[in-house]
Amino acid sequence: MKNGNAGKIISILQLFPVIIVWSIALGFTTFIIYIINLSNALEDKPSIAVGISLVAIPLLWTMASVLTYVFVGLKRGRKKG
Amino acid sequence: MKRADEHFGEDAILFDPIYKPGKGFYVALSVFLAVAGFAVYLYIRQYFLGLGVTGLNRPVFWSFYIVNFVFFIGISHAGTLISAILRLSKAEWRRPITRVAEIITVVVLLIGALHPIIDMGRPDRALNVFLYGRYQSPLLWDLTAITTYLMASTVYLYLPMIPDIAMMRDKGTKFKWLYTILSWGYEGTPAQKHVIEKGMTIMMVMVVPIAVSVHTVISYLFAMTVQPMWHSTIFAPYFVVGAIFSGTAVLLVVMVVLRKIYHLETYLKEIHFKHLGTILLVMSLLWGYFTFSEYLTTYYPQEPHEMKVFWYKFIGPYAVFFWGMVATNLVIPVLLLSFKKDIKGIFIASICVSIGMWLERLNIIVPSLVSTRLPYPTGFYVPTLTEVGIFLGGIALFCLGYLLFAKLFPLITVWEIQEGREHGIKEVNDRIRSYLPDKKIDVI
Amino acid sequence: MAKWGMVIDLDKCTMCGTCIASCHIENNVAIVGPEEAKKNRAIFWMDTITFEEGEYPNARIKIVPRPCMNCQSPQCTYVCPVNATQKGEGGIIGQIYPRCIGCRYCTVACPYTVKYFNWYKPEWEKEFKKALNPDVSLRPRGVVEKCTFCTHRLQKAKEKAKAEGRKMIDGDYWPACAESCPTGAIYFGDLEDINSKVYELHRSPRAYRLFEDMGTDPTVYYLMEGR
Repeated sequence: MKNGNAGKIISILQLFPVIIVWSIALGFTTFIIYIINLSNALEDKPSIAVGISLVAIPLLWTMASVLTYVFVGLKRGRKKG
Repeated sequence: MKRADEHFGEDAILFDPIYKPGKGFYVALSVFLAVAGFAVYLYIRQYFLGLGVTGLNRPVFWSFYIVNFVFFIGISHAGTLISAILRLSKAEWRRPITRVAEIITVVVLLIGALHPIIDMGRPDRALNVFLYGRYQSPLLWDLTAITTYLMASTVYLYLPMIPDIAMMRDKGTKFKWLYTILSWGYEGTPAQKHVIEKGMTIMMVMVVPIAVSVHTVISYLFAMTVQPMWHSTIFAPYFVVGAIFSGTAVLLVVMVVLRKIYHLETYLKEIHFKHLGTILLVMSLLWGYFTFSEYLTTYYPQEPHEMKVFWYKFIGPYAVFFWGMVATNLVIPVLLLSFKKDIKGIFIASICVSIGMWLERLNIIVPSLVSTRLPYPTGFYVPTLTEVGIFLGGIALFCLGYLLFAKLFPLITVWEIQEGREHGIKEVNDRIRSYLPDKKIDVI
Repeated sequence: MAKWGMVIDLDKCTMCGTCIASCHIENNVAIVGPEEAKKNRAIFWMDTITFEEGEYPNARIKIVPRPCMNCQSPQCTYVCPVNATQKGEGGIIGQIYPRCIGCRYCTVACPYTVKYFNWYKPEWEKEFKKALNPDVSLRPRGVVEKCTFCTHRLQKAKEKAKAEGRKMIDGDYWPACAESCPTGAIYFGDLEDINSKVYELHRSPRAYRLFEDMGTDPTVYYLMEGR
């Protein structure tokens, strides 16, 4: 039924902001881990990459979690029926 | 059939830009698109020909693009920092200002983040930063901080927008599909309100240290070199203070402009400008204090390389820019904001500060580069049409971003205003009562 | 591991400029043309610095050849975001042209301003094209370059020594400027090889380095003019 399909498309599109923030958070985590490995392989000092990652990664994950929390919370808090 | 905006009750005028864009909107859109389009052409030309089309040379390897980079990222502190701090301190007068400020941050951050790429000699190799990156380089610290701040500001802008988007989904007539998607099923139930409030509180608290870190790492770009008058520990707080200063000024300029063109006189009242004007005055004096401290510590020991830069700014070729900066950042704003504190005075002071803070970035970057330690022949840096055009394009892009936002979403947080009407007065009464010693005092 | 260094005897230097010319030819340095040169964009891996001392009637001019200082604590390497400027074999600060993104942070961080940038694509006239050195890669537009102590000659010297079944000795590897200097003012060699000429010279009381107290630890030494 058309309404049902439209509702599904809308639900999928509503996920986009959540997907984007998690992509950034996970993408950055992957990037920093890759850089730390590269630094080790080149026998350079990875200390600052580790230090920055200890701050940046929790921050990014927290922000992504906040957005997810709001998304889920809004879906859950809808009026029944 | 009722007109769409009549559904919105007494705050209908806030939705006018969306439902009744005047002729001015299309004229402005065309002008900004033209300027931005010309800037894009100039950049494409630079991409294929090389950075030789700019006025850069040896030793002035960094100039306009990096000045504008720091300038735009500095303005980004307006929004989120001021909005977050005002919300955290429960300042009631924040209500019409918060979203105006937050939009500034997001748009200007995107434009600022473009500038290092515009400045690169080989932007086609930008991915090398990810493939071969070294975190010892302050440029990667910049990358991390700006990404984090961009994400934080966008989430912090979006969360308070949800109730307003839901309002437009329910009562409006245009773009219903967009609002349905973006409102995430918000219906105003107490559970949902609580969720949004909690999300906003967490973001509010997180955004402040992130914002401080962004301009700190930008200052580290310069402070981590050994160049005279760059290698200074004061740079980090100096830049943060400068950013808040320039951000407040641009916020005031935007507020005055929006108030005029969208007829928001009942929402952006004189008291709002007065309060922000006080903040601008305080920041101006604070900026003056930092500047004085920096130049005194440079001047006192008379170290030859640093004095070369010092005199270049004080009496040399950059004297007009240096003293212009002091006049527009300190003298004029302090005089205006102390004696002529109406909207007109505040507007002039803010424009002066915006110009002055741009000059400050120029004064920090170019004189240190021109005054090389070894005696090389150096000329006077003059920007070319490419650099000026791209700068104007950046400003046009900012106005475009703002215009498009205004076309789709209300610039003032409607639900926050309504909350202020319904709950604000009682909350403030209760709060004042709790400060006073005698519980039986009745405050009206 | 070697530590390649240079000693420039200012008593022998006549400021003839041969080192500059030979460096240009050896390293395929771009000729930017008179208009670009007027804009301060000429590229000189080996350059001269003109120090003016004193006032009339006791004014002195001292012209000093200036290659890359090859710092062992290199400011340029510290700030490069992509590791295109890096300390390589023998302590030579090299430049990886295909990796450089042209951000020019290294040019701005260098306290001696020895780095140069290709503002446009380097072009050569027909005659110069025939004289290009096949051992040195041509730089595209938008990348940074600087003196590399003719590091391509190090590779050649190492291979030659290996082919001849012996170790490298002092004098096997020297850059174009040192080789072409008509008075022999530029010495080059391994600063850690106690038998090399540069080892003996860099410990002379006449030896000094530019901006020594900044801590960049350059490997280019100058021998003060005798008084």
